[in-house]
Amino acid sequence: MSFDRGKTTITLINGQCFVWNSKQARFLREELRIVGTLCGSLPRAPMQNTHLGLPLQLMPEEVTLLLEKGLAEVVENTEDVITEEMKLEYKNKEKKSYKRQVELYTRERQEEIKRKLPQIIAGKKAKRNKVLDERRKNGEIIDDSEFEKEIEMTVEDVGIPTLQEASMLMEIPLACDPSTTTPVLVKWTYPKSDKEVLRYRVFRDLWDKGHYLTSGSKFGGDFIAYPGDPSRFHSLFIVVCKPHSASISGIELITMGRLGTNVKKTIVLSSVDENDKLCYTSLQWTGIS
Amino acid sequence: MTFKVYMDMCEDKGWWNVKCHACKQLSVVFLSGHASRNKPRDLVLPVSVGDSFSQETLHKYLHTIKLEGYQSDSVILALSADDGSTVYFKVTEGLVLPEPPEMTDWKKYRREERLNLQRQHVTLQRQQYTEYQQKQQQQHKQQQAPEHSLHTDVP
Repeated sequence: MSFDRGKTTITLINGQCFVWNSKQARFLREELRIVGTLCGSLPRAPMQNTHLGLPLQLMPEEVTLLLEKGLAEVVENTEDVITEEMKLEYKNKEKKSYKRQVELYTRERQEEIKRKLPQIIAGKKAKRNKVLDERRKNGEIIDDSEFEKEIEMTVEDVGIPTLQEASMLMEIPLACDPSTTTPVLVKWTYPKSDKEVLRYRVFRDLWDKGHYLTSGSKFGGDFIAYPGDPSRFHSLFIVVCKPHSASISGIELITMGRLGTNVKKTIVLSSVDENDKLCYTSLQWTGIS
Repeated sequence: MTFKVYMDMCEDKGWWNVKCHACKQLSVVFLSGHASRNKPRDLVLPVSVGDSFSQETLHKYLHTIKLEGYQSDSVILALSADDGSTVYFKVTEGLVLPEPPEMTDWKKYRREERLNLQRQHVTLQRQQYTEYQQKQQQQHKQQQAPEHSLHTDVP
């Protein structure tokens, strides 16, 4: 399957959307005002989470926007089926590797024994002499010439233990083998429910107006709107999406108002009215105290 | 409830020229006043904390609560509880930028200055009162003392 080189590849993993390519992630943020969240570890600084690296996780609204504009495509990596042939091939490879390893091991050990043969002989002599000594002490009469006797040994006389199959060296591939997964285009079905539709409408409208939008869970809203890049500006609005006629209690209004004041942001209640027009209501504390 | 908010605004918050108005379309009473002499008039709608609102109703308020010949694009909701404590929140249509941090810092500074002034004023008043009291006591003593001597003179 060939994919459009110009489009951003969004990978769907377990229901979440990620962008793995750094160039594409930069392009999204710098040219398209799509911020997303970095959620991976940095390879050089893995034991901290102040600065995270790729992949870039995108909100479903951001994905829908990119798809609508024809700037991205959503793929899913499917596992290839492992056939019996592949299993047999793998087992054969294993057997060959074992045979070869035994050969090499034997050869290496023989070389080593050849080098150390004088030492081995000397060691055996010392052992034999020790035994003779013991026998002498015990009362046996042994001739001195026994001590001087040479030991004849060849390389083949020294035994080599067999290499167990369980202690065979196994090859672990370091490079990513791309042939076990194939990317498949996915049909993206967000937004579906009324709530999602409203959220997307609001997201799209605010994005069209030029804001940078990120997830609002840090401030108890749906989105946070920045006037510029989030790394350079403080956000100005906490956007809360609610249906037009959904009731908000007085206590809830006070909660939202207080929150907004404490963090110096305006709470913007957003909805779509009867004429299908987006309307925003800003909530601010009057500062009377 | 409107009365409680009215009292709160006048006495506690010290607003100027607080007036009462009626909105026939929604059959509610609302207030208007200035926060201080220089600020523009604000429209205040007293509501109960137990009430529930929807964005639809908020927009209705914004569009129907109006004073004749006065343009205002925001309404202040005065949410009052049973015990009379009120919180004021400004509701505006559209996206309104929050106050920049310089403004909030300056306002804080102004508020603190005002409080300090009040404290100074109170301590000054207390000083003056205690001085006055002391003077009174002295005068009283002086009056009593000569009377006493008169009595002793007479055998």
